[in-house]
Amino acid sequence: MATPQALVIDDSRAMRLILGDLLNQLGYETHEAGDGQQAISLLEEDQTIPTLALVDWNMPVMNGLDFIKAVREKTCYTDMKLLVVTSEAEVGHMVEALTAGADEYLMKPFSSEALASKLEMLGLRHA
Amino acid sequence: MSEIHPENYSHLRNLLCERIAVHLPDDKAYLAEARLHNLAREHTHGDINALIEKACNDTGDELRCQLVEAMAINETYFFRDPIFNESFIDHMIPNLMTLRRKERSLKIWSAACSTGQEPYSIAMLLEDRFPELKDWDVQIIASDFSRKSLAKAQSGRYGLTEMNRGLPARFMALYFEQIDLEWQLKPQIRDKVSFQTINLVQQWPEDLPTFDIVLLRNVLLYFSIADRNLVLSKMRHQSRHDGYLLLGAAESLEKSSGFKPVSASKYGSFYQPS
Repeated sequence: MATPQALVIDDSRAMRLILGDLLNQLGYETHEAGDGQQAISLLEEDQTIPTLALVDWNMPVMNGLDFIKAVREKTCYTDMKLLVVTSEAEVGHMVEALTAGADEYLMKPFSSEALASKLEMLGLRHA
Repeated sequence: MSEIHPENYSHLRNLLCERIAVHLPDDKAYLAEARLHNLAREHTHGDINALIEKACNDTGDELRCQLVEAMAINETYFFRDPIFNESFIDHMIPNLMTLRRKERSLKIWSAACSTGQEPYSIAMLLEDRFPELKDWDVQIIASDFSRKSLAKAQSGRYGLTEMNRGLPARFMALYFEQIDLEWQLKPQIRDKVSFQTINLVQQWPEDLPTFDIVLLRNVLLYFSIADRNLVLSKMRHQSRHDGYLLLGAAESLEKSSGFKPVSASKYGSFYQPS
């Protein structure tokens, strides 16, 4: 079975490394982008559509919410699960993200267990 | 961290066995050292041996209760395992709604509810997926031996780590409000659960009703065979003949238990009185 792909979108390099590491441990091959626009360019360049994208909320150039809206406008990304990973913990943000098409929401800081639990909730396989 | 003297470890093991029927193995002293650390800091300047001695010699029972509570396993989280989807939504609730359509009543018992995530998960699920139950008499009773866990459960207030584990974002948005760094369950869900202090290996309240569904997940595995049989025999009397008993993933029952398996998955097993 092919290794599942995950795209980590976060303007913090440290957070991208942490998430990348955790996802590798869960059996994912990861790709990184520092903002929503960069993530869209990556998706357009790449032939493979990731199973999952982890999306930060506050980022320069294009924030997480705009990325979610842009991705959900295109039918080719319908199957890609979008997990918002953010320190924005207000219910209002959650509602906005879910309404825009995010599948789940994980608040920072989080444990590896919490990430695994969200993947399970999304019906995604992990090691 | 101080090391527990063998005689103090033995006192602790006896206390746990006597109070909550939990049998702590010989080689788990390190667990006690880790779990009693905070209580020892509070009462005996971090000295765990002094804490156990103080509890044993205490004329009152308070410190012994705190010791047992600190040693208890409180592992729980919202919607623990997808068993909720498999068993509740697809099977149990629809089936019971047909069986109880005349009396329009459902009684559910979360028998070792710890800090409340299990009964609240059920309450959220019923509210979200079964709006037709609005006119029914639905009782969700949640119990635990630990007063500390029950106080937290009753408050319906959870921190970030608890909110991140198992709770779908949609339910978080629908049923919680943020208060500073914590999340408060809204009354529409909180009020659906009533809490009681019940120690499963001691006398149960006489007014406890008979239940349609009992959740006894990841509890029996800590008991001796004798205690397990005792609890199951009482549970058999507390269950409706066509009701359900849910156990954890690592648990199963023998034929002699008075329950027969209805279905099993990797997330848990459910049984009915035989």
